[in-house]
Amino acid sequence: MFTDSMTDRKPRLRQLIGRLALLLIVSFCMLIASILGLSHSASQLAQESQKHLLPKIHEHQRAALNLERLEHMGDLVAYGGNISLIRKNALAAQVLAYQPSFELNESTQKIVRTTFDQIKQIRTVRQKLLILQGKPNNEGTQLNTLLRQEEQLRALWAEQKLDLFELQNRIISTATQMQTHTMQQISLTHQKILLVGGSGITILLLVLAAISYQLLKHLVKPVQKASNALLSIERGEDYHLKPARYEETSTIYHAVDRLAVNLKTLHDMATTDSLTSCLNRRYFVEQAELALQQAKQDNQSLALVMLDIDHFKKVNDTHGHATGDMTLKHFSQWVKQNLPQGGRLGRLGGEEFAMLLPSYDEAQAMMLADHIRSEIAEYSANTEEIPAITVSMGVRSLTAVTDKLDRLLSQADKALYHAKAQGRNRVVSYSGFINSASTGSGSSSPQKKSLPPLNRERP
Amino acid sequence: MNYLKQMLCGLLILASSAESYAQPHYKIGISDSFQPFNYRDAGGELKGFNVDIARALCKEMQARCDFVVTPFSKVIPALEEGLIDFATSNFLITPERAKRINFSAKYYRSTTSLIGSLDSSHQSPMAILSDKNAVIATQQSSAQANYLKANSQVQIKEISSIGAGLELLRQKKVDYLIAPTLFALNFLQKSENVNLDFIGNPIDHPDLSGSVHIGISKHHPQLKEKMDHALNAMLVNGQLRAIINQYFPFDVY
Repeated sequence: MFTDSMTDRKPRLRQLIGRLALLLIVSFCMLIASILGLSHSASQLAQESQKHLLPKIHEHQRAALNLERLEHMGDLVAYGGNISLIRKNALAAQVLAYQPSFELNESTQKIVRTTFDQIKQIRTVRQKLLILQGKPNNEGTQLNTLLRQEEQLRALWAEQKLDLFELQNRIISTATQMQTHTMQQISLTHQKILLVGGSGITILLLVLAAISYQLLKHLVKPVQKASNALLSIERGEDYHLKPARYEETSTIYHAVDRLAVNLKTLHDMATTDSLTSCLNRRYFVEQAELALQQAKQDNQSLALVMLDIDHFKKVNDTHGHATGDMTLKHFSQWVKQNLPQGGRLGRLGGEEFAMLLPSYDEAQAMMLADHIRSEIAEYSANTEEIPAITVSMGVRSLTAVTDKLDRLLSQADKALYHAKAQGRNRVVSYSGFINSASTGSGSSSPQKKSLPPLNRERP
Repeated sequence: MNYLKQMLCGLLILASSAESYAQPHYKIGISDSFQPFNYRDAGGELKGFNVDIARALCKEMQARCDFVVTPFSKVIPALEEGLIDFATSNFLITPERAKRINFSAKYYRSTTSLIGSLDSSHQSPMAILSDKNAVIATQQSSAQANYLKANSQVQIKEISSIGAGLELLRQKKVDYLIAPTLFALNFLQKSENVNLDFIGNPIDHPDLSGSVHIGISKHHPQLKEKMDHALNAMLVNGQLRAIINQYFPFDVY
């Protein structure tokens, strides 16, 4: 049974679902937003590199190429055969050395300018030398000095070229580094996108799992429990519903409860006698039929006992129907107190009752019946509101698998009448009564008497 | 019959104007005495780095272009008046110029040098600039002219074209000429100018060196973006470098 009061306010399931939906939407939006943000930053990075880094890399590449040009100009000045060629290249070298292309950094500028200074020196010496060599009678000493100077300067130039070569490599490796750095950054961003996307989807799945769990716990499970409870009600079994957390499911539980109560009322009305709360005749027969089948199937014994209150008509006539009813109530109450597990008491009509005792053999049934008989005699004598009564009983137990219920009942009935005939307030078994025809035993009563002929006499 | 002819003529004019609408038509201001940037060859044909750049740009912008030969000092007024649409005229950006015309992205970089007789080539240009007796020729309304006026004590001789300045220098009517270094290099490299040379190294001043731009008329506010796009395309596809290699001994971009 569901034990929860409707009075205290419960949260609504609708609110729970609303909250879960909000959670889902928020986490989904956050995932989308973070992925969009990252891809935006990736595209910005790409744009940035396109806009700023690429020109910078090109600038380095141009500087490296121009260094090569400068070296070539220097070579022509150092080794060129005519003054005009030397002059042309020296002028070009000067312009190149001061060109803004080399404003990459100070060290580049410095190396380029010292290179140009050297080229200028070589130019001066070699121009003088070439002019001197062009004259027919040149002075040997001056020529030798210039030749020596030329040789020294060419050696220096060779060294300077090594510096230039190194610088060129540095510039190119800087450009390569920039490129690599950008590539790394771009791939890092892609990794970030993957990571965020992956963990975002994981979180989303977790959120979904949490939502499913919540819905399962607070919506599906309660509905399932309610439907199981309904099935239990239908089978006539007991059920138990814990208090529901939400208003809607709570409402369902209360409905199940009301239904269960209504059904029980209807069932009781259909199966029990309203005065004594015993099973009515129809339902008792139904139950006895089932028990008989079960006993045959399990190869168990089963006993049926017919009970009839002795001289009940007198009770009604002397004390009135109200006392009669009261007597019936007490009677059935006392019998029920003695019923074993699975035992049933039915009111077959008027003051006639029947007891169903599954797994009882005849001896056990006789013993129980006799105990009830003596108890009723004692209790009724001690109860003020009703007169003292006695009861007669007929016992019949299952002896063969071919035994049918109506036969067993009628045989128990015969035993009962035999008990009546023997003087009432006694228990008679059908087998004993049959046997007594020859042996004179088979009844349990205060006074053992020989059986009179079987006749049906109503008390 | 006459009426029909008139109608046909009208249609033809309409058609041609429709065509010219589809393909923009630009007038390019350029001077013709600034070797190797813009000059006339023996046949009187316009030649030079700026001419090739302008042609390549027009092709890239899918425009029809005509050159309008304009002295350097008249280029900015012509741009202002809308007589020309843009000018490949080696503009360094100055705040005064920026008020009057728009500028493209850079298309090469330059410095400024002083040239004079070979004997004075060892002198420092800064020393000469503070010499009251020195006479220096300079292109009228150029960045160099403005610089001299603001930063030197020398006697300034403003000339309408740089060619005239070179002539004055040859005739020794001026002591020095101040000019863009790349222009001076071309001039000095000629065998007839062996007695002339750079005076020291290029002058180190932000007004005189840096990136060089194409001047664009403010009557065409959208043209800058279009031109920058075209310039970038030329930079990426190697056209710009090819033109530079044709005129200069190293990469001047």
